[in-house]
Amino acid sequence: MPMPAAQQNKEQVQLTFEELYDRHFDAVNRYLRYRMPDAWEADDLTAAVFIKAMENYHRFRGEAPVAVWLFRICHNTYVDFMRSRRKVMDYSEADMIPGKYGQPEDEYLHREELVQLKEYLARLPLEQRDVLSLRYMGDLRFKQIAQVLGKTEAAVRMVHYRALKMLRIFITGDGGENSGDR
Amino acid sequence: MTDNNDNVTDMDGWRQSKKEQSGGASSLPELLQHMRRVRDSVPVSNTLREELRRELARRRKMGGDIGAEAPVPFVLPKSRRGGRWLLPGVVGGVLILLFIVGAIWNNTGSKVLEAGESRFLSSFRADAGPLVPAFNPGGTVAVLSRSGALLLLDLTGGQFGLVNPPAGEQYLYPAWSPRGNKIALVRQKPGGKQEIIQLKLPGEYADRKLGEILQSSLTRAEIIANGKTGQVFNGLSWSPDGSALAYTINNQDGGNEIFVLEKGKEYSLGAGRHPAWSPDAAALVVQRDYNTAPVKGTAAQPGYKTMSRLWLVDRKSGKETLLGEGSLPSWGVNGYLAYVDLQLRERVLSYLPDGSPQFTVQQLTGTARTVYLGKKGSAVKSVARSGDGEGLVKGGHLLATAESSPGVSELEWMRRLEFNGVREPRTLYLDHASTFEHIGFGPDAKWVVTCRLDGDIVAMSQVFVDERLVKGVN
Repeated sequence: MPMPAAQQNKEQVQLTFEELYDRHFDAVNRYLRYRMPDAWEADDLTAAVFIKAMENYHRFRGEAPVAVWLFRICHNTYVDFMRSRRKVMDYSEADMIPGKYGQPEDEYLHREELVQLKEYLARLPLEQRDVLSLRYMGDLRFKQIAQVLGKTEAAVRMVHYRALKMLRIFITGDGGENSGDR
Repeated sequence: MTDNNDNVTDMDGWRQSKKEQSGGASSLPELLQHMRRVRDSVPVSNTLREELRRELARRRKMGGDIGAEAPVPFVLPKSRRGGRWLLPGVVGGVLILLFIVGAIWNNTGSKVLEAGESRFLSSFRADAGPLVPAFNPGGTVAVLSRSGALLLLDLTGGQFGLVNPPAGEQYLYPAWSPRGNKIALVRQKPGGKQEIIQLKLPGEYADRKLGEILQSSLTRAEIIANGKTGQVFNGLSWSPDGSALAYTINNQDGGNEIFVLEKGKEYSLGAGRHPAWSPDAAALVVQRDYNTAPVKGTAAQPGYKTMSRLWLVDRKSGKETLLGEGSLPSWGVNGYLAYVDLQLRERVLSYLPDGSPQFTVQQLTGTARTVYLGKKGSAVKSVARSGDGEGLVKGGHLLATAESSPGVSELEWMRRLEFNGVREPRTLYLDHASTFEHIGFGPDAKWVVTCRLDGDIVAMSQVFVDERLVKGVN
């Protein structure tokens, strides 16, 4: 017997696949480009994710929000790919392009900050990187991240808080030697 | 870099002044702002977006209809179909190829058991003993002991039978033999003395008649093991061929020992409890408890001094192999070992306005995990690192967690703090573990039953499992 919540979700997400694609392409592509060292490979994986999603969309029963379903495919595809390549799941080498911040000095500082921040992010434990990338690149809520990663919402919030706390330590230089490991 | 008067600007000085203006980068809102900037800095490929849209549309036309409820199956055009012998040849070739790929993969990849759908079956009030359901070979009926009586459940969790013991007696720890023709259970007599009895069941019967059958069999029960005064039996487990029964005897001094009863003879397998047979009956995995000094991350708080390890014991030679930290083993016919791993976990009850945890609870929490041991008990090689408790079961695949919702004591603690006006972060250490009372594979190992203790309630659930091959990881 289907769960009432699942029915509700299914009703909420009566999207055609094209609508799903339009709504979530940017988040999926950004997430993969952020996490992977090579933008070409990230784009290949993006295509693989959406092809997989299209082939299985008829099986989606609405037990979870459609973004969670899609990001489960996305995250698993990424993890499987990195495992198959036997790579250490390290931080993306992708170029980060600073946004528009007005003055050249601002742009310079932000570029410098981004490079430094990227370095700090790479030092976080894998679990914290998973949460941060799903939150900020995938635009997922804590509850959705919890569903993607199979954790509780409280645990995800805790991981997120610890990640920011560790970044703060890195940035202020207080205990910055505590680099993360798995 | 230039200032407004086209003079050269000292970049370090400028950077410092910007930092001072923003109050440094140490505040959480500032960090969140940084993360948003990082997000904005990762470009999305517009070219890919359009190309992939076209490719998906092309595939839709070919068969995978975008937005449709079911994909249109791909049909090989008539003109491309071969002669009458071509199809069997192609199928044969594909099968051989799959076999070769499978063999290579089996040698280089590893297997994991993925948790699928989970189904709540029933819940019970916590009893003196753990909830340990025994399933018939078809996996359609469970018999379990509550308050000394035997309850019969179907797989919707519905109770359809109850077998009450005579006054002063109790029926405990039923174990259904793999062929389904007998049930062993512990009978506690008035005064507390225990014995193991064996009930014979007919070859065929309707599930709904089981209550009457058990009632009748109990009058003709055969006593197969007699306990001495003060001895307590538990953990009954039939060997896969049903010829031997393993069980634990807890002695008055608190020690426990595992025995195997075979052809009327009883022999010891040494200290331990919760025996789990290998599918070929050549070995058993047993749980052995040990006392430890508090260790951060595993047994950090007072009251968490007893931990458990899993050992593999060869049935014939008695050779023992440490498998690692764990408890409540169950070895399925598919070759996987399910067990419980206890770790110290944190639960956040409330947050401060900046998003940091305010009131936190720390508690030992059990997670059910699985690891592939194989179907041949004697073939399990020693991979344990002596002494440090790590080994084969380290890093098993997650199956289910026993994490519970906040209980009455935690909510009262939080209310008391709020009533007293406490605002700064506080942590409550709970001295009882949130864990499982039992986990066990179903007869065909297509599901695992979990009995999770949450406060005064034990919840029984069924978790379906699927085997998956994973390349390059353990």
